[in-house]
Amino acid sequence: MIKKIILYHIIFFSIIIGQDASLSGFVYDKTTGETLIGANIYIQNINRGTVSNVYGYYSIPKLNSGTYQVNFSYVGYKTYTVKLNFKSDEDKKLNVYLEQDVIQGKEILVKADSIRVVEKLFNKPVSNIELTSKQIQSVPRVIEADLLRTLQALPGIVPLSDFSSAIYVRGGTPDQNLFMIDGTDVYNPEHAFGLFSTFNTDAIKKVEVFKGGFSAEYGGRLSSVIDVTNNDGNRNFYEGKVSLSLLSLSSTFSGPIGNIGSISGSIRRTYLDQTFAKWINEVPNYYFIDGNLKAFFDLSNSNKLSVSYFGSKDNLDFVLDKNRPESLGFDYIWGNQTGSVNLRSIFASNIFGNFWITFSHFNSFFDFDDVGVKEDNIINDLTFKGNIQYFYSENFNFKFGFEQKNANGGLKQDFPGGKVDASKSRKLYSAYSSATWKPNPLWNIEFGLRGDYFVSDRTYNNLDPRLSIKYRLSENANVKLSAGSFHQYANRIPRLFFVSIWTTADSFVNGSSSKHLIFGYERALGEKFQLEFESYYKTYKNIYSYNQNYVADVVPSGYTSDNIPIYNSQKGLFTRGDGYSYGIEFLLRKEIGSYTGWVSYSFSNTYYTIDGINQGKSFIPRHNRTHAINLVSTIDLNTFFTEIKNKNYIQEDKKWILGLNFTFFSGQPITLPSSIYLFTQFPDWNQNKNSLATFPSTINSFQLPYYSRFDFSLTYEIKYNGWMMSPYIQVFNLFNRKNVWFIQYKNEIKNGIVKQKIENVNMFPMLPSFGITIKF
Amino acid sequence: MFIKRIIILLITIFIFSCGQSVVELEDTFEPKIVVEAFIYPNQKVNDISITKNFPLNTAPNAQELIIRDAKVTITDLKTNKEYNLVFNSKTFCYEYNSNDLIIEYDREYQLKVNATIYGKNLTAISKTKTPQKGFAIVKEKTVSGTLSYRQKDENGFVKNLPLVFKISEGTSFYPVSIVALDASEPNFIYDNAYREVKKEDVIKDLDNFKFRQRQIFNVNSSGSFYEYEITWTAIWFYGRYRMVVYAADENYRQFSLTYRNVQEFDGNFHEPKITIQGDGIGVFASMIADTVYFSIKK
Repeated sequence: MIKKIILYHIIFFSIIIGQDASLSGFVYDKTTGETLIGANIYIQNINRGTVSNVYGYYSIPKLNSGTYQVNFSYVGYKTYTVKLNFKSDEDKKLNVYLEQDVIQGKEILVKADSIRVVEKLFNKPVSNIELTSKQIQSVPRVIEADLLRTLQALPGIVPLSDFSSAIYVRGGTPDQNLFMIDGTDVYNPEHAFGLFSTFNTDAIKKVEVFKGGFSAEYGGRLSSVIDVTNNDGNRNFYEGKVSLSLLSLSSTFSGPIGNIGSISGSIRRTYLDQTFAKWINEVPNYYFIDGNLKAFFDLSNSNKLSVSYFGSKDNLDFVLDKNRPESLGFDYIWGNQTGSVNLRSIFASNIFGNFWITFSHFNSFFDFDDVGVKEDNIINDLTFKGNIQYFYSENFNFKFGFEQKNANGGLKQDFPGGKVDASKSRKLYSAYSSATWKPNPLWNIEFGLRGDYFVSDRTYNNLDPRLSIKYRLSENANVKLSAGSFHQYANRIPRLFFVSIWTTADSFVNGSSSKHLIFGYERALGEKFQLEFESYYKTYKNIYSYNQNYVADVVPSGYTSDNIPIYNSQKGLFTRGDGYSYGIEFLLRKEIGSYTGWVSYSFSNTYYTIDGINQGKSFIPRHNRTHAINLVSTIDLNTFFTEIKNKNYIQEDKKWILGLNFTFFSGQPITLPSSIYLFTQFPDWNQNKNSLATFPSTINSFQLPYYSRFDFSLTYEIKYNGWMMSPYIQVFNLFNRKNVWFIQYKNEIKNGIVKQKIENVNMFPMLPSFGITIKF
Repeated sequence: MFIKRIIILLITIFIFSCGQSVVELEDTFEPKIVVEAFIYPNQKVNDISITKNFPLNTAPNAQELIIRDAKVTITDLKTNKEYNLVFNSKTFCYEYNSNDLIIEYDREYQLKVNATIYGKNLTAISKTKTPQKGFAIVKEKTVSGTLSYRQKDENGFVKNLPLVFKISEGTSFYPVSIVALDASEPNFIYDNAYREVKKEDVIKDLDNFKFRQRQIFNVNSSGSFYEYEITWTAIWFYGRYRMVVYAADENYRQFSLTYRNVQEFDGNFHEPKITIQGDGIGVFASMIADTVYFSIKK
C-alpha cells in the first residue's frame, strides 16, 4: 500500500514544475480582523477566480504579466475592486480587508451577493452545506440554540426523537459522523444525556457539513463530517456578548492581543442546580458548563499560529430522596476537553501548509456506592497531522496530508460480581493526497486517495479512493457526481442513561467500510435562490450495532484471585451486519435578503442485515425516515414586503425578526409486541403481577404515525451606538402536536384476569421559552 | 398571489402540525407454546408448566391459558428413553409419577411439547444439561437467624447480607430469589434508607417489593467457593425471608437475563434469547436449588 501511495505522489510531483506571476494573500473582515472563509477572488479580464480557504488564504498562480482588475467579494460585504499590474515571475501578496455593508445608523441596500450563485455552487463540494453561527441561531429551537438540532433540519439528516440531538446522516448511525472543532476530533458531543450538543453556537465561525462523498482529507468515519471552526477573535477592538435563556447564561468575548494577534473565548453554564433544584425536591442537582478559548498569533507574514481549547463538563449529583441522608444516590460527571495548536505557513505564494497537534480527552465518572457500582470511561486522543495545499496553476491544485493518531483509554467498571477493564491503546497512521483539476471552465474534478494503517491487537490497512466531478450544464446549472470508499475503526456503544463507550476494531470486531455514489444537479434561480438535487446510494460492510442481549453473551476474559470475573474484550457486545441506503434530496435555499432559509424534501430508505437478527433477513432500522420535509425561514419583518415588491432588501438598525421551522417526517419503524405470556421468573415464586411478559413481533415491522412540528420565534433586534440588544420569545411545537415516541404496554393480573393498559408516550409538547442577547 | 400562497402554506403547516397522532395497532399475533419447565437432579419431574400466549388487547382468565391436553415428553438423551408426562389438575403442571425417572446430575434431557393452540398444531423442543453435583449454600457463612434492619459493624458501616456458596463445576450462573414471606402493607419498612414510599404505592406495588432477586453470572465455574454480598435494597419488609440460590443451566441463563428486558429505552422491542426450537417461548431449564431463611426485625 505504501508503495502505491509513494507512486501516486511521484506522479503528482512530476507535474509540478515552473512558475509565472501569482497573486496570493488573506481576506479579512475590516471591522474585526477575522479571516473570511470562502471569500471570492475574481479576475475580470481573464475570467479566473478562486475562493479563500478555511483560513482565509487564497492564491492565484500562473498569471501572465499585464494589468488585471481583481474583485474581492463576500456575502454581506462591499466588493473591493483593485487594478493590479503584474510583471513576469512576480509573486504579488495582497491582504484584503472587506468592509461590512451595514453602516451604523443608516439604512443600506443589499441587492444580491456579488458573486453569482451558480459560481458558488460550482465551487462547493458535493453534498456539502455550510452554516454560520447566525444561521444556526436563527432557527427556532428547544430552549437553547443548538448546532446538531439545526442540522436535523437539513435534507438527509434526521433525528431519532425530540429527546436526542444525535444525527443520522443518509441512513448512517451517529457514530459514523466525524465531529471536529478546530481540527480536533470530539467523541461524545452531548450534554444532558443527549438532549443538547456541546457546541456553543456563540463561538462558532463556520460549520461545514459533508453528508457523503467527502474528500480524502477526511477519514475514519463512514457517513459524514461536521467540521466546526471557531472564531479567531477580533483583531481591532474588544467586543462581547451575553445571552440569557431559560436554561443557561452564556457569554463570549473577543479582542486583540496587541498588534500580534487576537483572542476569543466563550463560556456557558446552566443554572437549574442553583435555582429549581434548590426549591423543588424532584429536580436533580444537575448542571453543565462548557467553554472555549482561542488565541491567534501573526508570527510573521508567512506564519500564523492558533491555539484552541474547548472544555465541557456535565455534573449530576442525584439523590433519590433529598430529605433522607442515606438515600440512594450517585454522582455522575462527564465531559470533553480538546486542545489544538495549529501552525499555518506560507512556504511560497502558492504553497500553503497547515500543521496541527491536537489532543482530545473524554472522561465520564460514575459512582453509585450504594449498589457497589463505579465506572470510569476515558478516551485520550493525541494526533499529529498536517497538510500542504499547492496552488499549481489555474487548472491544478493539490493537497497532501498525513495524520497520526494515538488513542488510548476505555471503560473501567466495578460492579457486584464483576469488573470491566477495557483499557486499550491504538494507533492510526493515515496519508492522503488529492488534486483539483479544472481542465476548462466547464469542469471541476477532484480526485484523491487516502491510505490508513490501523494498529490494535491486529492490524488493518486500507486504501480509499475518492472522486468528485462537477460539470457546468448551462449558464445557471451544474451536474455533479461523487464516489468514494470509506473506512472506520471505531464503534460507539450507546447506553441508556450512561454516555456512550467507544471501542475500536480488533480481533473480535472488524473495521467497517462503506461506499458512496452520489449524483446531483444544482441550479441558480435568479440572483438569490439555489436549488440542489442529490441522489445517493451507499453500502455498509461490517457495521456493528449494540447487542441488546449482550448480558447473556459477554464472556469474562479471566478472573481475579478472589474469583471476580474481569471483562476486557468486546466479545459479545456487538452484532455484526451489512446494509445499504439510498435516497434523493431536494434543497431550495436562500442565504441573503429579508427572508432567508431553506425548504427541503428527502426520500430515503435503509436496510440492514444483522447476524442473528430477523433470521438473517434484511430489515429497516429504527432510524429510517422515508420522507422528510423541512421548512426553515428567518424573516426580517420590517423589510419583508419591501423586498417582495422591489426585490431589494433594506437592513435597518431596529427590526423584528421572525423565525419559522416546520418539520415533517414519515413515521419510524418500530418493533411492537405481538403477544403476552405468563412466565414466573423463579420456580419458587407464586404467579404475581410481574409474571406477565411480552413477546415482540417481527423486527421493525410496524410504522409509527408521522412526526410533525411547527416552531416559531420572534426577536426584536435593536442596534445603538455599537451595542445590540435582542430579546426573543420562541415556541417549540407551537400547535402542541402530540408526536408519538413509543407505545408503552402495562399489564397486570387482577382477580385472575389479565388486564392491559396501552399508552402512547409522546415527545415534547409545546415548549415556550424566552431570553435575551446583548452584544457590546 | 404571493400572499395567497403563503396563506395556503401556513394552513397546510397548521393542519399537519397540530393534533394527536393516531396509532393504529395491527394484529401481529402469532400463537406460541409457553414453556415454563424446570427439572432438578435427584428429583422427579413435576414442574413442567405449559400455557399459551395471548393477543394484545385481550383480557383472558389466567386459567384459560393453561394447556391441559398437550403431548409432553421428556427424553433421557443418554438412554434415549422417552417418558410421557401427564397433566396434574391440582398443580396445573405436567409430571411423571413413576419412579423410573429420577433426574441425574450432569446429564442431557430433551423436552418435547405438541399442542394445538388457537387451531394451530405447534411443537416446541428444547434440550438441557443438568448441572454437576456440588452446589450448596455454605450456611454458616450466609445470612441466617434474625437481623436488625441495616445492621452496622463496629465501625458504624452498614453490613450487607453475606452469601457464600459452593460452586457446581461447569456452572457459571447463580440466580438468587429473595422472597419476603410476611410481605404486607403494615410490615413495610417506611423508614427505609432509600426513598419515601407512600402507603398506596406499597399496596399497588406489593409484588415488586416482595419478590426480589439478584443475578450472579459468569462465576468462575472451575472455582470452589463464591462470596457475594446482598445489599439492603433487596429488603423492604420486616419479618421472615426465604432466599433460594439456584445453580442454573445455560438455557435459564440466556432466557432469564433477557426476557424481561425486551423493550429498549426508545420504546423499541427486541427478542429475548430463547433456547427452544420450533414454536415455543419460555425455557426448559435444569437447576440445583438450595434455601436459607432469615428474619429482619426493627
